[in-house]
Amino acid sequence: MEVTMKRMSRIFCTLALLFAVLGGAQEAGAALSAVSPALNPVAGNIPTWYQDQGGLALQPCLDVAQCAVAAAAGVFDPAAPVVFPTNFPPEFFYYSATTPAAFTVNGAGALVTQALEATFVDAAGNVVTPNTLGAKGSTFQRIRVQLDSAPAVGTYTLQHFWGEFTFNCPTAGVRCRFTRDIPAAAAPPINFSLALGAGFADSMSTFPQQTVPAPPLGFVGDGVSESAVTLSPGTVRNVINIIPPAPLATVTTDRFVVVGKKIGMDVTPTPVADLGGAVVAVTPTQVPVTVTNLTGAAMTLLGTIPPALQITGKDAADFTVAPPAAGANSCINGTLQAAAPSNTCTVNIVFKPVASTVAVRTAKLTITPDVTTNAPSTSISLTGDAEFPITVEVEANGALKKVLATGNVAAISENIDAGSILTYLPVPNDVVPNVSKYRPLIRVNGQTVKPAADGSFSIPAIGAAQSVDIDFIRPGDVAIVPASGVGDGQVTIADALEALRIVTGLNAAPTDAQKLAADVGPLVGGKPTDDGLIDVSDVLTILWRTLQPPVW
Amino acid sequence: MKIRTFIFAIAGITLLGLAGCGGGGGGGTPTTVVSGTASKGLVRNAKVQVFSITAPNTFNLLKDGVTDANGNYSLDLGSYTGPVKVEVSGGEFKDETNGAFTPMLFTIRAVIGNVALGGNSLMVTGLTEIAVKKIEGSGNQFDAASIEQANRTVASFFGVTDIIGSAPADVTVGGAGDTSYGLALASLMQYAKRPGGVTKAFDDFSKLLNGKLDPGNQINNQTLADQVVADFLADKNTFLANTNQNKSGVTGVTSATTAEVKLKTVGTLPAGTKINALELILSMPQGVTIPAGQDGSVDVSSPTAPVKVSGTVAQALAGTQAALLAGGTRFAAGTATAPNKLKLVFIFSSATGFDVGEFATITFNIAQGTVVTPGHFILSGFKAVTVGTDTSSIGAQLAGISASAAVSLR
Repeated sequence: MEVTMKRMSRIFCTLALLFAVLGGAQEAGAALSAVSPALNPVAGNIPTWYQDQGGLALQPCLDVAQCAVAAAAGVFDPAAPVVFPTNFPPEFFYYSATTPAAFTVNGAGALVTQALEATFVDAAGNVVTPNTLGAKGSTFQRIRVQLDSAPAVGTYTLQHFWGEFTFNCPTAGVRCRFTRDIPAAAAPPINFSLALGAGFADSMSTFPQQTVPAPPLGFVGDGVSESAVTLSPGTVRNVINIIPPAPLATVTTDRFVVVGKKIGMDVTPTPVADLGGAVVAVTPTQVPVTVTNLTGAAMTLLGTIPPALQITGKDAADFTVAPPAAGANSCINGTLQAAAPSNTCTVNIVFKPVASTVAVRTAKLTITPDVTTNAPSTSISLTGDAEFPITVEVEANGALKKVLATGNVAAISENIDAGSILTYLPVPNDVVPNVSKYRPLIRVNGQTVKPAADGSFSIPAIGAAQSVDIDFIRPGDVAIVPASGVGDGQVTIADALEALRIVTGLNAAPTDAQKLAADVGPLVGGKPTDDGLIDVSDVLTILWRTLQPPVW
Repeated sequence: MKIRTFIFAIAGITLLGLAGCGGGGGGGTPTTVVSGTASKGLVRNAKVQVFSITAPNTFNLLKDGVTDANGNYSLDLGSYTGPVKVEVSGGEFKDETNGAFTPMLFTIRAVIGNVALGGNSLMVTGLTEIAVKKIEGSGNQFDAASIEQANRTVASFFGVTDIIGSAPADVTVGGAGDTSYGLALASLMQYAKRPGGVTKAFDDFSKLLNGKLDPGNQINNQTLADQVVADFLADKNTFLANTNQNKSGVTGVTSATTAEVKLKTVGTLPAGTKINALELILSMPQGVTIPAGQDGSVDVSSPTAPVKVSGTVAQALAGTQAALLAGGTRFAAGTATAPNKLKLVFIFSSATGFDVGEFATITFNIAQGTVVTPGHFILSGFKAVTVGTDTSSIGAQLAGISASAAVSLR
């Protein structure tokens, strides 16, 4: 009995601890993808790097100029060389994105920090300075929101880069701060993989990067500029929103001060190489991708297992690696020296989509150096739009519009995203105003198409080149001019006789233009009608148009 | 056996005669009596229901009854006058191709534009069912004009004078009545032996007569219609040759070398309106031909032409500058799946137009050994149009006008 009670107690304690570690998270979400097994002694024996879902690996950022490393009296003097543990910051980042200084909520200052950072703990798990005897490096994700003066009591929602959570401000007009750490500070030994965030809803999964100005080589941000950030694949948003209790309005910012230092390689463009639109099987596009060696030692890209340059993913077949322009150091079987200017290589990524009805094609380029100790493989996303050409020809006596939700525009020959549905509307001219119009003879890829009741016609799920030809046929103009394949634009006795030949079967294979022209009778209210039949009514109607011309 | 058949025939004729005398009898207030024969072939012991017809297409039961052993019925509708529909269901029908009675698992109907006080003959047969389905398939309402036009069109197609008022002969016994009607029903039964049975047979012919047998009203696409006509002509010959069942005395074996077909329009033109153009198809067995050019065009202008305008058209053309638009008549030789066909399109080049009546006389050649009866000349696809009384509705179809063919074998 006593043994059983002890066992139950141990189970309860384990469950309670697990719940505390998980912070109440109930569902698994995206997380960072990898952590270096090697520790960096210069940085306090914490992992050499963490890598995000996009393949971007960051190391501890300790450069004073770019890494927003704060001074700590008696612990760290930024003006002196960074040395562990004698002159070392008590808190520093692999990555952080913080809101700008001017960010306010309801007129009062506010600060949101989204970070992957490191501190030091003692044997009991208390946060201590790095120069504390026995201090051990500890890493964790942190999202902190601080309102200097909460505008209202109640529940707030923070929508961050990777998801959202709620927090409560119990008192208005005073500072309200909420921090989510993954994992919470704990006693050594430190499990550095917990900072990946696996198993936590809305965990950090990517490292959005500074855009303008471009970050310095080797960094994802300069630690100073207030910049928009990239929207990497897997990132929910590249802004933050604070949603206060109603009726207060949501506060948003898309500016951030970004800190982060790449390890091993700097690849541009990053995180996405957009190859734009390419016409299937006709006009491939390409972009150069440049790799810069950040290791300080020579780097080779000779590997075959895995390949040094590998394209994977859903649409890998659409992308290929090609040599760069003449004169550039090729990454294909390339060698990158330790120092500029010979520490870069370039490769062209060619986008030549295969035929399908899917427009957006994506893949991933992974670059794996032969030695990965200080240069883990890194990736960038590849994206492009597969297009097909639409050739439009419109003959006289009318126009062709492309139907758009924003308003119809003149139809032209153009390249269209695969899978698109194009809708066109022929607009025939009047033969006689308010009485009769020319009739559109619509051919899509040489096949006659009957328009919908509203006169439009569509090309669904485009998966091949298309041609659209529109002739405008005069009602009653049945006799064909051989050179043009359509009538002469007049209604004469020859047209009545040709219509008769169709009715009797002497013309057993009338053209689509003739069928369109011949189906005019009976007149309804003095206007020609198309009832889908070509019969004696049509012949008589055309004959009378020539004998005693009524107005149609 | 022959005596019993004779007695049945006399009984049927007597019943019809009594109905024609007013039904109610007794010298009181006259009532409306409808009576007739149900035949697909002969339908005995079947339920008969008579409905009034009110627009739009509303049917209310007036009276019901049962056919007797000879397929006859007679029902007194009291004071009702106007359009009626009669439905016959259940019972047994005689399969003319083998003489056996079979449970009738389908319904046959007939409609008439008006019944009056006194006796009204109203046959309910396979042909009247086709007429009803034709109206349904056309989208028209069951008004007097549609009903009369449908009944006349079906009669013309099957070579019957009157599918409503004339009783069909039971051709398996050589009985009294309209032999042509009886042969048409027997031929229809023979056709119904094909896959799809009776229901498909009704559908095929009603759709054909509405021009809706071939999909999408495709221009010049008569493929299925031609097949149906060719099959029907073959089935007609099959029954005529069935000496066990065909007791009509008509075999179709003829020594005739020519057939003269007089075509006429039937119906009443709206006031001030003339026919300005018409078209039709005349289908014949493959041994029946007409002199034609290589492209099938047939001369209608010379005195010796095989197609001559006659009757009202000849009168309208006489002494005027008007003419028919040339090139409107074409003969097409048949194939394994199509009969010989003559497409005739008359288009008057003058607003004067022409009246209802005979409009063409056509002389066909008959090859030796060809089985042919007047019923082998099948008229379909008739359409008459007008320029109207003003120019706003040129080409409008004259819905109340139909056509018929009178065939003389020589």
